[in-house]
Amino acid sequence: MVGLAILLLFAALFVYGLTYPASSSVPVQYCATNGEWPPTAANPCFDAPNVVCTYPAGTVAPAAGCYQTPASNPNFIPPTATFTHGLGQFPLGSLVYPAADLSPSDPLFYNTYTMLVKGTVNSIGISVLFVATGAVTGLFVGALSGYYGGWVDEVVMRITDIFLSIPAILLVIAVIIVGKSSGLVSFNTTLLLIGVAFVIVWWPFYARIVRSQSLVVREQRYVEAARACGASNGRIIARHVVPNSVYPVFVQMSLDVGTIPLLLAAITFIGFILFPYPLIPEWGSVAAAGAEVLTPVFEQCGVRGAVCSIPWWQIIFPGLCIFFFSLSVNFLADGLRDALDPRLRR
Amino acid sequence: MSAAVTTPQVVSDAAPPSPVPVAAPVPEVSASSVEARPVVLDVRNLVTYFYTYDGVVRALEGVSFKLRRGETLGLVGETGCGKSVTMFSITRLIPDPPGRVVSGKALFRGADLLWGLGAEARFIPVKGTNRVKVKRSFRKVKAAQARVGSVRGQGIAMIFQEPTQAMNPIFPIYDQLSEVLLEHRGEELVDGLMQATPDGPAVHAAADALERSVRVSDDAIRDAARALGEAAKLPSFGTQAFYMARQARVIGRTNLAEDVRRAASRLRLSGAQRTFLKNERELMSIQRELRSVYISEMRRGELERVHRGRLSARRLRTRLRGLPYRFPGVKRRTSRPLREEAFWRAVQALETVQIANPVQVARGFPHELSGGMLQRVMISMALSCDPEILMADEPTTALDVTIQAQILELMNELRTRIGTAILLITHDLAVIAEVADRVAVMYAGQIVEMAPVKSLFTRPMHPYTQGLLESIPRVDQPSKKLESIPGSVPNLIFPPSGCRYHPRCPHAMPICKEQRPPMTVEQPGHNVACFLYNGPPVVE
Amino acid sequence: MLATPGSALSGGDGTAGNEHVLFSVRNLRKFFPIRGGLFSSHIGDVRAVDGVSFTIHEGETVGLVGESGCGKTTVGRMLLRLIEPTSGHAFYRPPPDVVDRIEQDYQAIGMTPLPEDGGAGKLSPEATKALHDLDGLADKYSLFRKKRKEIKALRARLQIVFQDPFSSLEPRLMVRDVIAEPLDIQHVGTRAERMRRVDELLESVGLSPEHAWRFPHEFSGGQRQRIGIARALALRPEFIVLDEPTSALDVSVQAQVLNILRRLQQEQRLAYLFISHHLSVIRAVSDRVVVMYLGRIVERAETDELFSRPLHPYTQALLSAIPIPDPLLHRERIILTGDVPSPADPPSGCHFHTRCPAVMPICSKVSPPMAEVRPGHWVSCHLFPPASAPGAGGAVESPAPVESLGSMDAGPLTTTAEASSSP
Repeated sequence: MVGLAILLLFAALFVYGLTYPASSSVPVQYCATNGEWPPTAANPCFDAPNVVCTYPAGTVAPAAGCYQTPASNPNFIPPTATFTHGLGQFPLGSLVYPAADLSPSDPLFYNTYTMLVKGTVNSIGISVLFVATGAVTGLFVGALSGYYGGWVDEVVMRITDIFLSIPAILLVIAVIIVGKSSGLVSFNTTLLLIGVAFVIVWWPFYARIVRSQSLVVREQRYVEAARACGASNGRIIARHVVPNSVYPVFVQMSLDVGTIPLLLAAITFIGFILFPYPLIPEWGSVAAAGAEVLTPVFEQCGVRGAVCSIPWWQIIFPGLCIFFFSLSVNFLADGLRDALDPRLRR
Repeated sequence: MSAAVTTPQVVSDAAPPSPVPVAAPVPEVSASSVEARPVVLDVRNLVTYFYTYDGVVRALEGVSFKLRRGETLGLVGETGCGKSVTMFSITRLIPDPPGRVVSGKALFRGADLLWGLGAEARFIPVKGTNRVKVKRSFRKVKAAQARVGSVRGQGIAMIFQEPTQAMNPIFPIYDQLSEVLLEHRGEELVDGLMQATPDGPAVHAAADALERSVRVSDDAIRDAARALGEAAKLPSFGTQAFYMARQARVIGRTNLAEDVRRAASRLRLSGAQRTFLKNERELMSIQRELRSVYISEMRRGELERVHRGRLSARRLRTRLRGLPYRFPGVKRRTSRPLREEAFWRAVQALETVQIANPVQVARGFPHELSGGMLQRVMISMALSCDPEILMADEPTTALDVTIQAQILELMNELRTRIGTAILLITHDLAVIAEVADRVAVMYAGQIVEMAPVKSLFTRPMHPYTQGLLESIPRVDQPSKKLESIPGSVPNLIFPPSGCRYHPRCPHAMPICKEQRPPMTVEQPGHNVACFLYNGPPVVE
Repeated sequence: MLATPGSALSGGDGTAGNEHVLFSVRNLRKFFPIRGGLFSSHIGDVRAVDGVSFTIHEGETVGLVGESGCGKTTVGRMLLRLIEPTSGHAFYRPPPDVVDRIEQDYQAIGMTPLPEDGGAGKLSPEATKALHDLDGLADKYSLFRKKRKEIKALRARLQIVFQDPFSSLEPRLMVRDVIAEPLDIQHVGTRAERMRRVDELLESVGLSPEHAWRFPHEFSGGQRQRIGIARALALRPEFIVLDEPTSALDVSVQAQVLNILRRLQQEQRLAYLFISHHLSVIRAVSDRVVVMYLGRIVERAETDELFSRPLHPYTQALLSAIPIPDPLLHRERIILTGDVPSPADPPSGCHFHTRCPAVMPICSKVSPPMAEVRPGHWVSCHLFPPASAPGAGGAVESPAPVESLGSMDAGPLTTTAEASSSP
């Protein structure tokens, strides 16, 4: 019940994120007050809708929630300050990216809130897509292997073992490197590659689960009864084995859905920018990017100084999002399993 | 393989029953003679409920019966009537959440096994549902368990339905049997060892006699072995010698006397062994004292404190809690005489249940034996401590018909030989007819009829008993029409009011819905709980 | 007594004759391979069914009795082809003249003495001809040689009711789906027609149509077994294998279920193979009884004949071991020694010789052939040898000769050692 509630919240966020006004990019808001740039603690700038921001003379005030680049508005003068200059002071709520890949014309500060919202779409979508694909593949393979047994089972299980031995992160990194080196940089292809990499790594878990369940189910009397009535093997698998084997899959799926954003975060943290930011936000990447600044900040400010200046909001909020999301999916999976099991229905 | 252990293909002359058809005489027990015997177990108004999420399952509602020495009482009923629950309630083996023996008395050896029930828990009904919250005082419940634990196994022994799952699969059979023996009769074992005389001319002479008897016949071997045991003042040594002789005969060994003498010399106790045995005996007697005090928790605490001064607290604790057969902290050589004594006693126990090759069986593991053999082993474990009561929960249901016949035969024989009172729980009326003296028929948690076995079958009074007897197919009555009882067993969360059988009874009257019929005496020894009869009520 | 072909005594089962034969089972065998050793090599066989022959006629109940491990469940499943046999035939609905021919062929083959009995082990020309004829008949009538499509159509007519009422119904389906499933598999009728039939079936087993909307776990054991029977009846079968249908039920419920089964048999002219180890139930239900021990048939007769005059020592022991609910009856019981041997390592010769009270030296060497001692009463015991000189007739089934000659007797499979298995 609780899980359902939280999940509905996320679903709502998802839908909101889909409809968040923007073209294909993240809306950006700049705020500069009283001619100071970058904003300081004395004049922080919030990007809440009801805050009035003033802009340096000669610049054009951007419309709320709109993204502006020199291309879209020739009168727009983006700030030129870079991260290294703005050490210690940057607007609360903004998103910080490492400077290495910035180009001077790129905007520097982004809105965490909007990144999170947009990120919902991407994160949830990616997680669900990857897990579902992996689960379906694993289900298919596992059900067939478990039902037929014999040498089919042996062969498939050995193949599964091979796939199980591949570490997830390494494969994704390898795929990205290969992809980048062969020039496929666009978002969709990257996503596809990462998706394929994940599915390759994830499906064996499902296959194993489904196989062990189908080994049990195929010995049940009702399967024998169905065979006695002339059911073909395919029908038995589709109508009896799979539906009765699918309960543990739900559990595993719920666990995995929460894990994927963390995995992506881990990969981004290592340094492989998965998604051409800042256009494609994703919770894990956002958190990782925020965490990346920790080291240089500590180096340059020392511990005391760093406490005020690390973008904690950038690390904590995406993390909280991942946490609540996987928690809610877990609860939902439990509830779903109980609801679907007729024996527990009251 | 199991075939090697169980099938007596080797010369088996120890004690298998002869293949010639044997008549199985049922000892004539008339009602009057049974009444005259002393009562061993007196169960009064046992009420057991299970407090579940769906409501309160009223499993037992006022079950009362008396079990007399040496008789076999059969408790019959169908699934869900509460017969197993009765057995577990008496020895407090009901899983305490969610079950609870709400009230009742079970008098055994003069004390109430179910003492203190009222103080252990409080019941709080939950408004608006059928549920009841039970607030237990777990300290008191544990104390009660400790009290009853002293009686289980030794005063009341039990055997269960699935023999293949009743034993620990990782320990050999002799280990499990020895555990029971050392726990309950350890002092006997130690005393026997201490006063054995394994040396001396008498023993040597007996050993030579044994060797000579090998060539004569099996009976001679048995006699010679017994004589040897007497000479050594240790009967289990006689058993050991018997099997050595048998082995010698099979493999043709010639130095039997030498071997026997060597085995006897092992019984000579060294100083360390003697000290060990003395300590063990002391521990065992302390244990026994602690166990014998099951009436009052306070006295137990006192005793523990007293004895703790004499032996280290740690040793006492490990001894009371650890497996007695393991003897932690003691060298194997030191504990060997005791362990071997326990082993041969276990073999003796297996002999009493007519297992043809007890040494092999004792050394084997539970998974090597078939269901029938395991059930015999269980029976031997149960009877090894001479309990006053044996409670058997469907002992033959899981066995094949021919094996069932063997086990029932065995139980009949043991009954006449040893004289333990047996509470036999089963759903098979035919088994009851073979083995029981008296029968109690249960339905939905209540005893509806109690009678001597002949009376019950020739003149069943309660409509449920009549219905049961009509629905059983009989091999000797092929044209008998099987009448089924309409309806089904009631849900014990919402039991029918009044007499619980009234929805299915062909003779139901208006009063049956309102009041529960009391147990009345219709004929001497034959009690019924039904409004169709109005005899004098049963006097407790 | 010689069973002459064409007489009413042939057909393998005496007085029932060879009209309306539903199944004529011959020399059915099922060996499950034991794999062991380093490379899971084939080190032996569990001889679950070792040469079983009997006949089932339309509308009759054949009781198959034996203790656990004797192979009776396997036989039942083989008749439905849920398990593939290692060798043997089951002729389905052979016409009377074919029954006679089968009989003749087996007699011709059966006369070949076994190698271990001193014979040469080679087939005589008549035997070879008979074998070929048998092969041809098997192609036409044997259940085990039918193709997939034919089998699917046949499955509608051969059904099974299982022992355990708790696992035989799929727990996540409603009762109506459970019963309608056979109809669905065989594509019978429209959805509405199927639901009507479900209601019909529920009523015929004594449940009400409103029960169709509940789940199996809401019913008691007896009711679930009745649902299982309703499911078996859905396709209007002519033959139902009842695999210990009442062993898990209480006595009063058992009576209900048996009464329902009897009524249905009379209404719909069903044939039952009633497998059980409760002899009292078998006596109440069966027309003819087959007693099995460790994979072989030891005795076969009509019910009354078997129970009043049991000939085989095992049958006698079995009958005397049944506890009778009558305390006034003092019986002489034959208590067998020892336990049932394992089917993986059965005793040589007659499997029962290790426990038999009447064992003779020959029993451990040669397995006894099946002989007709009285009309319709067949026993496999050396106490009752075939009446004429050995090898000349009477004995219809010698367990081995066709076996040792290899694969011509087999159905879809080849030699026994390579029997595939699905335990």
